[in-house]
Amino acid sequence: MRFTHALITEKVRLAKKGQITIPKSIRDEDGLLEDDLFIVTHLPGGDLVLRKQQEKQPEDLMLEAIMKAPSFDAKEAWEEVKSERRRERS
Amino acid sequence: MKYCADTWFILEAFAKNTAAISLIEETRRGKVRIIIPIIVFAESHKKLMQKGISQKLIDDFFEGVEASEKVELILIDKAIAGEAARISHSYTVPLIDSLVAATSKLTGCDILLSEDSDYNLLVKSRYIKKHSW
Repeated sequence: MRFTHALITEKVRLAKKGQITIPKSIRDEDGLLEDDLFIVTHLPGGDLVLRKQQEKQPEDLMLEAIMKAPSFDAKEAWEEVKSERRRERS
Repeated sequence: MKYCADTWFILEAFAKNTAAISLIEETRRGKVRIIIPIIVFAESHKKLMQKGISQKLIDDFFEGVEASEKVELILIDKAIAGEAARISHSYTVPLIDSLVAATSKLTGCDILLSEDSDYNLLVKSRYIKKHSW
């Protein structure tokens, strides 16, 4: 594991509606901005881990669409495409 | 490595073929680029709909393609259309195959991803290199 900066520990207080403020030093260090999304994980021992959600890359959208698609016979589909192409030639 | 995808590749990807999925994952790592001729977009779109894939999933996939810097849709311009006409006439190849091959050639792709034997004469003449699994 490679650390890009020293360990930072700061105390924060839970405010109304369960809000906490990430200290400015950490926001600046990690370039955190308003509307960034985070995933909060509650560990069995009671610790909370706050992890910034990585933005999806376009290729992830492509792969997600593929994974959600119902299965079909690609070989049969391709044979149909080829016969349609050849029909055009004749 | 720069690949040109024929409709065969898109169908293989949607059928969750591991080789096709791996290639898309490789684009995410920046090692591979994939070109999709616009005629392949039309043909695969129609066939996927016929196979019961929802419009939303097809749209999601091609929105990913449009947003990607590693995967690119290529429109038919005058140069591609003219080259396709020449190939189709000289090698007696269907026009759709010719448009795909011309796009592959003129965009500098290393490999055409297709299982279509109609390209064999073009491969023999070293016009394109083809790969399938």
